Amino acid sequence: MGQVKSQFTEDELQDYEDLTYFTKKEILYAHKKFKNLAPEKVGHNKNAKLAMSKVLEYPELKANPFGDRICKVFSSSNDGDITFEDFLDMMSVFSDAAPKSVKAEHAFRIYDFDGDDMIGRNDLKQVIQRLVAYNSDLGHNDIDQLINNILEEADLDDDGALSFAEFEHIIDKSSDFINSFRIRL
Amino acid sequence: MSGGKDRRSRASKTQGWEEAGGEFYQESYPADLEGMQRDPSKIATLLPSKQTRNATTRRVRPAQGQDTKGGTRRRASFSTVARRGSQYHEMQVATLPDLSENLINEERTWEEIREIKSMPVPMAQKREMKAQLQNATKLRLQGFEQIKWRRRKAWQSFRSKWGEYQTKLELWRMSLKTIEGNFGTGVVAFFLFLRWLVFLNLLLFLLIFAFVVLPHLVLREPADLPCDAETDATSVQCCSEGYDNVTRTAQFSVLDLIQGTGFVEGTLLFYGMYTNQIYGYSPMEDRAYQTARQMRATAVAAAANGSSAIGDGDGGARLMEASADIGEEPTTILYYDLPLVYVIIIAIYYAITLVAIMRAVVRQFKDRIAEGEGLFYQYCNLVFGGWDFCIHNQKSADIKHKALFNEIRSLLYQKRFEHERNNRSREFMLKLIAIRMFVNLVVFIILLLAAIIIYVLFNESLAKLEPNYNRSTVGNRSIILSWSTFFSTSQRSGSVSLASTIAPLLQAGLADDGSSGFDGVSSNSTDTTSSLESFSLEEKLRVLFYEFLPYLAIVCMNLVVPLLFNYLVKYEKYSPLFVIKISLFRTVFLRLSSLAVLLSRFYFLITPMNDTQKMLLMNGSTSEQGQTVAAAAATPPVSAEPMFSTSPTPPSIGAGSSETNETAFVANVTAAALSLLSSVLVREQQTQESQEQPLPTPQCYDEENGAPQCWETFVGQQFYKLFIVDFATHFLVTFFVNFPRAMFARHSSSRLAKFIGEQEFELSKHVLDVIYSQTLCWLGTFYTPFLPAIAALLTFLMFYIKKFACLVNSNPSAILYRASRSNSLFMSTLLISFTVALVPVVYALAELVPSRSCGPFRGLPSVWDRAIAAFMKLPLFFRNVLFFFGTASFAIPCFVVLTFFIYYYYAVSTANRHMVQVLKQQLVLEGHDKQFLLSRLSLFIKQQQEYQKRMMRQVAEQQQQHQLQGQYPQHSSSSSTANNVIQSSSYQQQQQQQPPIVPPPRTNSQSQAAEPTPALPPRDSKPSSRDRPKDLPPPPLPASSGSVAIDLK
Repeated sequence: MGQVKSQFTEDELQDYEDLTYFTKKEILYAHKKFKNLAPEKVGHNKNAKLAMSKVLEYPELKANPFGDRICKVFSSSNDGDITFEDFLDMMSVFSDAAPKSVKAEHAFRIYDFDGDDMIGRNDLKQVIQRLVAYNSDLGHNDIDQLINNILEEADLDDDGALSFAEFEHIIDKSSDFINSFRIRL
Repeated sequence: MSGGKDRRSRASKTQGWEEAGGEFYQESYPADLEGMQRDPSKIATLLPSKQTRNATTRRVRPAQGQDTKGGTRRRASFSTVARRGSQYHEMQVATLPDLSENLINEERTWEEIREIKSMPVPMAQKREMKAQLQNATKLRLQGFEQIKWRRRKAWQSFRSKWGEYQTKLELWRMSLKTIEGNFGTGVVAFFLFLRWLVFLNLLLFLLIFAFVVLPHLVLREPADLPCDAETDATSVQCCSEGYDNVTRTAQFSVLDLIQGTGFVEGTLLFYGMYTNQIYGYSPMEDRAYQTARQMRATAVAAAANGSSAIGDGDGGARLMEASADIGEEPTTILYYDLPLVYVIIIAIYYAITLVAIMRAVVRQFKDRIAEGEGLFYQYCNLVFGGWDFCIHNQKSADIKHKALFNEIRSLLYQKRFEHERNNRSREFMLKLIAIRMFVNLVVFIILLLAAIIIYVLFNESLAKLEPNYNRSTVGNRSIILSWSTFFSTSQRSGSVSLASTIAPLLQAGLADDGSSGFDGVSSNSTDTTSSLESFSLEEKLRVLFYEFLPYLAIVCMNLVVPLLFNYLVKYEKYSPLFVIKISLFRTVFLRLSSLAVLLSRFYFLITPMNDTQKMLLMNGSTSEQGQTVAAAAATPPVSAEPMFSTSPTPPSIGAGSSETNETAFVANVTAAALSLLSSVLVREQQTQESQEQPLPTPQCYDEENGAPQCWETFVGQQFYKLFIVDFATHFLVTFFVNFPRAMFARHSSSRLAKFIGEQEFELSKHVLDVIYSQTLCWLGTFYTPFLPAIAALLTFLMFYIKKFACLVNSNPSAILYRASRSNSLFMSTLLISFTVALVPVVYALAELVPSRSCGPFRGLPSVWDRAIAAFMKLPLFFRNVLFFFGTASFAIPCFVVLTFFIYYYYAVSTANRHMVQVLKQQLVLEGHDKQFLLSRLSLFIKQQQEYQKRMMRQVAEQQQQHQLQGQYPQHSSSSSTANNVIQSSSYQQQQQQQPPIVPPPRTNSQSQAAEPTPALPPRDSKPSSRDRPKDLPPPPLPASSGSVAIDLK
């Protein structure tokens, strides 16, 4: 513990504690996890930037079909490379303590593949395909049908795409989202 | 300049956008016009309402004004003012003339710092914000405010500390994470449920321990009056002594530990050992006890002297006096009324359970309702909430993919399935209906068989253990007699010899015991086993086997029959969701029915004795109330009859006094009305039989029918055994059946092995296991106060068993378990079984007569009587108040008011639902409006642009003549020169128009700040088939317009 602690000053820890949903212990623990991804690099520089491929070795992200999207959304350099602070942000959003609205906001960005601030048909298609792991049994017709159903349900203003407000509304009503959009540290 | 834009956009938000005019769009979104023309709807993304908070923040990072807007818009209203005034304080300087108003105090700063964490910006930026906030000038809080703030801060830090400890102490944190990673949130919900049960049981046990067990251990038990067998052999004291003697003689043995008999019966584990005395520190009481003791001694001496009749009568009378003395409660002295506490604690126990369940249910009830009203986004929920982000295992991820695929497909095919169902041919339907009816019939028969098997086995084991147990009478009692005898004879054929060997032995032992002491009122199962010490191990095991036989049968049936149901349900061709429900329903039914049979067996075992008890009670109460000598004299002759003479008490017995006779008769009539028709018939038979026999006697308990001496303890033992057997089977099945199966499947590649060994983690089955044992706990708690503790312990262990079953034995299920759905499944099943469990308990408390020889309620007509008696001791005022709650004058208005409330809320909810509909429609209309307007707008812009282009060309032609080559060097290199020129000119116009609003230096500084950062983040879009051209920049942003403006300078 002492060795880990030496990488952070008390002020930094205080900052992190104020700015995330974690306690100091959890922050140190998160750092340990981050360090495990690339021990020598992070050991050198506690805030080293890890390439996306490296970060995707984190078990939860590796199994997650949206792993690359998560990295990109949280990357401060926008290219998917993750520093420790980005990692901490990520874990903070995925933690239990984070409120629904914060989670919804990030989820929206994760699902918004083309970054046009709307979840359009193409975004939905990508989401579905990733969910079923590009299972070819789900034909185009099925996917189209599903997208139509989704839009019918949630596209309140009928413009063929989900805006953030609409998405937030969905999340509000969804009983599972808060449970599923979560990674235990 | 961008500040000016900001202001304007804000104005447009508040005052409508006409003010800004078409020029506004030209100014802010110069580059996207092309795209807009092709797809006018794209402009919609630029509307403020369509933007995420981050979308604005991220791109215009240093110009935090945008962030404020976004942040405040969505943030709860309380922070709105604060936010605006704080970190963007700088901006406010530019726009708002009055600064001092907006200076914030420390508390707000602190609040805002805490708000930062919810902002979707990178850490570096958050830190910047924090630093900015900390360095900003702020007012110091004064006086009371300061104290309040300090307190809030302290409270906050305490809470975070506490949270830290909590996570550290959180039970099974890592286990849960592993399970979650492998099986997803639906299964983890089950384990959380287990944990919840453990804590619930612990809490309940602590309650019982603190108020019932602890006093018993700590306080000195006041000695009861000694038994005076000659006066009244069936007095409460004598019965208790008899029972005490039985339990005290038992010695330690391991078998007793799992049977709950022998020495275990003498511990506080069971109901029987709790005293009916009131603990108190009263010298008065002690003295009274002393005198009673002395009198008893003299009475005994007198009896020994031979002057029995007089001495006896004398002693009895004096004894009465003494007891009357004791009866007068010393009011001023502290006392602890254990029996009363016992009732109250049990009531609280059930109340707490109910509240705990309700709290959990209500939370999910909301979701259910939303789902029912069609407000639930089925598809969206599946797609956006479908993936468990916590899964960290590739194999589970694959299965999750598959499960999601199945779910999506079944959702899509549901419509098709319905369609298909409607199109089924008539013959097919007929066949299907026939099949379903047949299957239901089979299920019914299976359930019936199961019930009968339990019934028969229970009889069998009792017959083996209780030699006095009269099979024929008991058999007569039941309507399914013919069945039972049929089965029992067929079954018994194998074990006849065994029975014949064991019965005499037991009887011999009993005879020994019976003759050894005068009050050796014995021959229940406990006593049998205690006298069995002399038997060989083989005999012991045999007894053990019979004792556990019914429970083993129940448990085995619980294991096997559901499999059968699962197999049968396949033929019924229900929809998949319904299949889960119906098999669950059938399994619940099986479990409950087996329990019901068991309970009814207990009931029939107890009721005849109950009548005896009632009889005795009448006798006892008349004599105790001090009808004194007459009644006291009247009883001895009856009790002087040989103790072991016979049969249950017929109504005609209490011939001693006429009053007694009357009351007894009434009691018997009511009892008869209560019990089943068949049992009435039987009793009549019995009375006829008994009339032929010599005068019957009241007894402490009814030994002819094999009724136990202390039936509460007996029932408690049965639940204890059932509970333990249930747990043991889970243990054995998991580790010695399923584990080898799984190993077999894993290490062998043959298909057969896979078929035999592969198991899915079937959630509903495991939930039932847990709920079943919980139901047992609820049923048995009254009779076994330690059962919650045992339940907590075993549930704790169960967690590990289930974890093993989950992680090692089984594969993730291909059915998608959703956390919300499975949670509501658990809770509703739990609620059902709780209600079902409550019914017999309440009945037993209110109606059955407690045994005379044990427990806190000995000698009372019912347990509830104790509470009523205590209630009667309350001051008159309270009593009146409480009575008032029971009267119609309270109940009817209350009912009416409640109905009004219900109606009111119903009306409100209908109105709300209607409103939701209307608003939804309105939203759609608005959307259409917006699209319409946008298309018009883009058309207009297009025209405008063409016009301007034309103008431009003209101007350029003119200018060429005046040679203005070097004035716009940068722009000449860019591709869209014309556009930019227009823009710049329009900007210049703009600036000239509004100099007072936007002071130029300020604009400069801000836009310079904007310059170093990349105005646009690199696009991370996939090379998807967007219809929008790639080379276009993203929805243009104020910052980009700002940078254009800079260029101009």
